[in-house]
Amino acid sequence: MDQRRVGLPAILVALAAGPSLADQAGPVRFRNVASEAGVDFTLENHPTPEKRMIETMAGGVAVFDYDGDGLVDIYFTNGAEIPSLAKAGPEHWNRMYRNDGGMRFSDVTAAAGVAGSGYDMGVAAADYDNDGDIDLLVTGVFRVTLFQNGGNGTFRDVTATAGLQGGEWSVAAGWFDYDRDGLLDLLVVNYARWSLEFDTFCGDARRGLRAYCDPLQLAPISNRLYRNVGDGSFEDATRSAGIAEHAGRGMSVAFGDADGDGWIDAFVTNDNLPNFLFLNRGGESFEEGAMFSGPALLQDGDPVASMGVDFRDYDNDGLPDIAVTALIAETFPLFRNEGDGFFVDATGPSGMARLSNRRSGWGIGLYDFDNDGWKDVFTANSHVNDIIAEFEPTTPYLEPNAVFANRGDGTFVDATGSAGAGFATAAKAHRGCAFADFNRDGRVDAVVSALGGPAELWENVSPGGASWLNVRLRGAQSGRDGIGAVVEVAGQANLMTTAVGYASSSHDGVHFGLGSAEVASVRVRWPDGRVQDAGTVRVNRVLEIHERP
Amino acid sequence: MPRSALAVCAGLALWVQLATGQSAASADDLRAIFQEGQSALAAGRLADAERAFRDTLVRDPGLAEARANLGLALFLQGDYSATVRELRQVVARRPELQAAQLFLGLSHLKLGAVAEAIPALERSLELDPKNLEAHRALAACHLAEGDYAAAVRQFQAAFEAGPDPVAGWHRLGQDYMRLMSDLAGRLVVRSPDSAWSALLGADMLGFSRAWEAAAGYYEDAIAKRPGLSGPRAALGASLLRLGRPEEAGRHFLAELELDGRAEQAHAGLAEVALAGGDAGAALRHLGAVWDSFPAWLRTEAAFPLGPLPPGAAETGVGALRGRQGGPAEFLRWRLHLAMGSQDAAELARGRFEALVASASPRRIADIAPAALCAGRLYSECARALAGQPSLSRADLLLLGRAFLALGTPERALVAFTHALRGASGELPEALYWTVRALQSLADTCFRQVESLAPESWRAHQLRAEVHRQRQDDERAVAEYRRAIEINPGVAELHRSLGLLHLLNNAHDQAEVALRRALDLDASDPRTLYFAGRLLVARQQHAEAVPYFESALRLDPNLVEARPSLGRAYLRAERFEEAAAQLERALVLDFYGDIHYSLFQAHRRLGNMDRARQALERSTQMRKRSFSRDRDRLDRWINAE
Repeated sequence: MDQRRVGLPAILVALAAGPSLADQAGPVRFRNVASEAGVDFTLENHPTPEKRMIETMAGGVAVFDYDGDGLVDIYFTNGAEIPSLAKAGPEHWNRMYRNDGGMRFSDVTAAAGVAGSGYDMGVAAADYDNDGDIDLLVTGVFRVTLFQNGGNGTFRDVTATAGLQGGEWSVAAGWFDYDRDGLLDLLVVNYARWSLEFDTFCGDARRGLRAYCDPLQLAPISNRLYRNVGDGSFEDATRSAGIAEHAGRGMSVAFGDADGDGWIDAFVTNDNLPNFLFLNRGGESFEEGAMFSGPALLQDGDPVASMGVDFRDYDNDGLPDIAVTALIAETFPLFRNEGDGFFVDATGPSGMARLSNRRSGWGIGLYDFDNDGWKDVFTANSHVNDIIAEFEPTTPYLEPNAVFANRGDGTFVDATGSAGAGFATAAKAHRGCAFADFNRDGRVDAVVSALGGPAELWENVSPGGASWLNVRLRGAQSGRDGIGAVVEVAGQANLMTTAVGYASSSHDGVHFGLGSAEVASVRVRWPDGRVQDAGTVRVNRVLEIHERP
Repeated sequence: MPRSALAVCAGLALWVQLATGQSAASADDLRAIFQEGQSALAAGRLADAERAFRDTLVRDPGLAEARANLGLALFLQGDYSATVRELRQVVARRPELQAAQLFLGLSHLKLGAVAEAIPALERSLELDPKNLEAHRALAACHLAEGDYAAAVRQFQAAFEAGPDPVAGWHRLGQDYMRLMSDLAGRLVVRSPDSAWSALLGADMLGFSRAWEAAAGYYEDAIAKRPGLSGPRAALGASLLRLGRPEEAGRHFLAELELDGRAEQAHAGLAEVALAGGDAGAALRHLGAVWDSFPAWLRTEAAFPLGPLPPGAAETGVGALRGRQGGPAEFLRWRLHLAMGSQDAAELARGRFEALVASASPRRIADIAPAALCAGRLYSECARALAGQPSLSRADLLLLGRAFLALGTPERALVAFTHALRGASGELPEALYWTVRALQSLADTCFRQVESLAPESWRAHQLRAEVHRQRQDDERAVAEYRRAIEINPGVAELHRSLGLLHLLNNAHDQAEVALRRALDLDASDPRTLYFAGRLLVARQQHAEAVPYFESALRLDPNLVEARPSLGRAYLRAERFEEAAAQLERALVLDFYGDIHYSLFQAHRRLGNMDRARQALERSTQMRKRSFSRDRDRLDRWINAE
């Protein structure tokens, strides 16, 4: 078409068309069973009239099998009093819920000894000491806490002996074995330089409306990298590995081999700054390359309030992609890995731009909720500013979660409206979310926290009975959890990682939806590059693969 | 046909009537085709009109009237190159066709060929000296050449040419504002690290009543030019408005160390003293202003700037009992006003004005212009400078500031615009003061509109714009709506309302307003640009492309649309076109984001060297702007 001759009346038609939100919904269904399941956690972020910025950012969730019974349990982080930043009573405790089977849970916080003591935010689950049970690293305001799982249903705070430092506002953390020594290392994501003395009035003084300040007012800081020494302690490798020189406002971390060199890389979301992609240079150090590689920014070049992240292959081309949440009008960025270490901004072409444009998101996960062989996107939503409507009347603070079904052609469709009674209407200040198949029915469920409100446990009740496979790795030289291994099933690839979403952690093997398949070929690429062929297996089960020596 | 273009045609009598010397039969045919073209033109069927006039010209290639109207049809379709081709032929044969000269000039201007545009527009004005469009187009040419003085002359000539004074003041004010916005943009983009840039940002924020942010920018200006007089007093004034007199007092004292006569600092200290219940000290500080430059107190509309403690005004009035003289009457006037005692305030004001009028002129020994100006003898300073055979750029700036102080911004503007000619090193300062003069002139124009027609749509529009600048969007929307009620046929009102909704993410309301604006004038480049932005905001990037393209075709000088078009191409994966547009938009890049988009475009095209260059530049700019913003914020937070 001759663009010069585009008629103005024709243009008016385009303007009138507006966004089409009437796309077909996918067959993903959830129902909130938190109450009947006995998950009665309420996230106490302790909102204050001074609008301390930390209040907006609590809510990390971990799902993992803490007692080794094969059922995935739930752990919620919680806030504390302000300004003491101390947990004054049980209402501030972090909470552990044991999965009793049949989608029933029991609060075992006190017995497990994981209530915590400070204003906590994020959590990362993994067996860092390779002793066969899963440990917890909890991040918080001016603190990190390492809970070592004793294997007897109790945990022990070993932060000091492990050599982990507090003192920074740490939002999230992730476990990965960057030097491939079989020992899980730790990347702690720090938000910004902040203190309780920061008491700047933000908002509209004329109307007496005090709001949370813009993150731009806080100076960025670097994240912290701890190398696992192997004797239960860690050494601070932040400087030697090249992490220290990159200051950001970190919110979350996810891992993947971005450039296909066999070394696991780390992607860190930054609030209103370019994201970081720490490219692993042979297990020795990292080179920050997000700008050149592409996932630092949307292609407009403006930073967004990047919050949660997942780093998985959504288009089944074998290359891990990056999905991020952000605030309303920013869209939820989706960076498609096109190989050779380059990512392209696929937010628009995938439909995510249009679908997410009027949403604000925190937690996120790329999981195949309908088991059709294509990973869908789940987001835990809410704006950051609780009085945003005073400034933007059409912008909501409380939002329902969303689910975007993968069409299998590189695009997504909004499946929120048809995701079950209550799903699209449960508007809350959602924050963290984590994913696991709690009832072992082969469908990935989700647990979501919300500021000042009850947590949600979204049981996946999607119809269709499509096939699935959950692969659990038992590493040897690669570390007990097999974190960093890539599992390939029937042409799909997925990474064994627990770092997913916003300040959260999901430790439930590697899930695959397989459509109508009855059998599937399985192989594992362990972190050191060795490939282990598990042959063709029956589907609809949990498959445990032990690493061959 | 777009209504604005119709109005232009009607106003300029462009529609050329046919006078043909053909045989009767063929003349009838020719006339019929020609009239068909005119009808099509009137109905806005521009392609049909173009076809009919081309058909006419096939039959009679020498028919200048048909070629002139063909030129108009092409112009209205945004094909400025073709317009130039046709109208050049017309004016070569019929130079007296004023409208042909005008549209030839306008087309050249749209194509950025300013040197060619000027003679055509000047000839057009020779033929019709009261032609508003020609004056304004010529002003735009002068602006493009950086000849601001000539541009202002044309704005003023356009004002004088118009029959309606309210419309004239309104248009002139808007012309000043546009020029001000253009120059402010140049200052900020070209000299982002300059103290003058920070100072301008602070002034603008102050105008928006964002005192906290303004204070941060004043701090920034002070950090960049510690020896510059003015920012400390302005910072103190911002702090007074925020109700922080103690901090303000420190900055006023610091200002007086740089300039012992600084009026704002003395007045600020007077206010601090009043807040502390010391009316005597307040009088002493106002006395210092009075001794130096009594007229300043008359023009200083805001005193006190901030809230006084309860009872402070009453105490102050009591302490003034029996006191006489200019400072006392000034203070009495202002305190009565603060207490709501209008009559007493008016009486005191009258006495104060009389004292100002009768104040005896001072003399100082040094008669060097700089010393005269520093001594607040602005008239003498201006006279001394005007008497010099040639003025340096510094002299021109001094002269302009003297005129500003004397309340004659139009003369100040002339001095400043002369200082801008060919300026390099002193450009930021000259730009800053030119913007200040323009702001003052625009205020004058808008006050005229308010005074002549306070209930006109124009007055409501201006109020809306003031509210918008002050971030009071609710009242801005109400004023725009009132203006629209009075005159629903003004496209720019709907456009402004649409933009306001767009900026507030109220997309549906923005669509309604912008659609109405396009109904009224489908060829307004700014409305098309905003409509494109609305589509981008809705993530309809491909759909936005034709809007941006049309906006830029109709107004190639609408530079802000260029990065939008480049990015819309990028989103639409039209990488070659994206790179081309983004390259042309780099001049607007402040944070490195346009360079980043260019990097993406080159990378997707496989131009890795150019991609790396763009990324490197983007990173540099980002770091620099980040550091600049960080410093500013740190100072602000520390001040808290």
